[in-house]
Amino acid sequence: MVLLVTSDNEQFTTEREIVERSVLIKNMLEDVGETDQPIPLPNVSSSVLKKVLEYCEHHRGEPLPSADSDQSQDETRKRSTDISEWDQKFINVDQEMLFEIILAANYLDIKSLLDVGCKTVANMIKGKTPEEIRKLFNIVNDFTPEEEAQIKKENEWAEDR
Amino acid sequence: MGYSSTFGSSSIGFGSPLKLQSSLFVTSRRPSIPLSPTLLPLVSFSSHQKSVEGKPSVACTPALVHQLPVEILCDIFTYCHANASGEECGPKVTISHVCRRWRTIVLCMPMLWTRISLKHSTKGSIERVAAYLRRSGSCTISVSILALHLSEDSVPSNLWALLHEHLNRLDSLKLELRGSLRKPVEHLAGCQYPLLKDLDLRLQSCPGGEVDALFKAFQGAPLSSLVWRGEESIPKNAPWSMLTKVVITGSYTLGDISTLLSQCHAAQEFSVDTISGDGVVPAAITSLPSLRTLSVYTFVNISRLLENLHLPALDKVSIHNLLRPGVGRGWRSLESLLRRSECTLTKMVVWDKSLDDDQFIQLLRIPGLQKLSDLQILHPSISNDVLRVLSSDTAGSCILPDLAVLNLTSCHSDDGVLKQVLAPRFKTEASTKPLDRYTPQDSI
Repeated sequence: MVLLVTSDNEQFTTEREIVERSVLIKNMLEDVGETDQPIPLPNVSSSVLKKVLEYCEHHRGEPLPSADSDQSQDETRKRSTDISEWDQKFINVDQEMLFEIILAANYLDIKSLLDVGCKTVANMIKGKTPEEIRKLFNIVNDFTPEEEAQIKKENEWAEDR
Repeated sequence: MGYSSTFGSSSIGFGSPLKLQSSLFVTSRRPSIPLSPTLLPLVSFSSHQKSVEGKPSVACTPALVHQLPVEILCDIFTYCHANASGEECGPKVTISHVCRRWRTIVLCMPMLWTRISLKHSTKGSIERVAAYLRRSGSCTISVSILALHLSEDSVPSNLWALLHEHLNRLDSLKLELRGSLRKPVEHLAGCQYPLLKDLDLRLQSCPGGEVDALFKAFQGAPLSSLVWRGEESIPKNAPWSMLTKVVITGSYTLGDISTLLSQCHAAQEFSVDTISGDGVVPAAITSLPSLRTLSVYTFVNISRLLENLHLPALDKVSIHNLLRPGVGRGWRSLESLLRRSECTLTKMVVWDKSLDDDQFIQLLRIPGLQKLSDLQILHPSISNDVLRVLSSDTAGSCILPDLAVLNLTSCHSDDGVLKQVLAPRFKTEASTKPLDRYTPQDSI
């Protein structure tokens, strides 16, 4: 069993097989060998780690992407935004949690979870206008008047697509 | 759950793990997309955005999405372009209009700007092509000029000049043009095409000499795929012998296609749509050692074509026989081709209204088809008798024992018999699937 400690000082005891879906933790455990010492995760809160471990447990036993997976494999993977039914339900969370999960997956190096998060955000963006995207993510239009003029010009390109 | 948690424990030991802890603060994941130097200032971008004059401050409502580092936003924007194929632009332009941060990132992702297409002759079109060429940096580019609806004079005159300096990174070129090819040939000739693999040409009313000149311009390019959608003529100086994929669309004779096949020594995939006349077929047998896929749409009996071929690697055949019913052309020539080539097919598409039930069943019993795993039948009047034979799993009488996918398209059988006769061997893939798609039961 592995003991994880979150940024808000909560402890999680979990099976090694589950937590080793995180390449970061896997490498760390391999480096230090058998240890009872807790692993601090200062960048992950308990609520997020709970979700991450739920994901890791569901996907336990599945093959991990190889460390030297080349760029062409990466490109192939990015040709689809399909998300499995379970993953869709899993990632159906509010925006704050979604981004926290993405950041945690990136930090913990869980490529498949990061992909699910990125695909979800991509699917939220697709088919929307810039204004709709701003509204969705609470983004402020911070373009200068000169940039706005350029953007207005680029809008004419759309007619040709 | 495979884990448990204890809140607020104060017994965390930080003796030796100090080393561990310091390593944990390092971001573990390497960016999958190398970051452009232009993006580096954005890496430290925080959730705080500068207040822009005349626009509300976001200090009190920071956008959570700005917490995401640049490399993750790059991944997200790449995913936004997944499934965008052909000439589709994807939402990169939209993304670049959201905010300054997103715009900076998208404009520094050259691979998003590599599909360049032009359909209209507006000023905006040319500006867009110029911007895409600039933004695509040094990446390989795919260019489509779809100007079939434009007269030769309507294609913007500076387009070809604009493309000229980027031809050395051209990976794929699709041209749909009509009328004179003088201008494109002028700009395309004399250039190097070290990366050009795919050529897709749809040319209407173009003088033959100019078509030849166009192909001459591409001499030396490492072409592997040619889609030719001409009218009735097949270009003579295309590099047929080096192509692995050949797709010919137009109206050709059996003689034209036989002659062409005899030149396609490296072909792995050959598709013709359509053969509409007979012509003289060369007497010699043509052997194409690499050809795996053969697809033919025909209005004439192609027996003479098949009888002159030797295709030892043939794996997939798609024959759309557009003859009217009752003409009664057999498939004996396919049987003889498979026997002569000593090959067996794993995939076949059949669309042949001329076959009656007996002929269809004879076709399905051809020895070279007994390894078939994927069969698609497009037949508006396939009878239940044929399906009964196909679905029989009685020992000794089971034909196509390896069949894993049966796709019946345009097969009318609204009396319920279709499902009934197929039930012993096949089950529907999902309730939402139409009745025409079945997969075998696990026991078969």
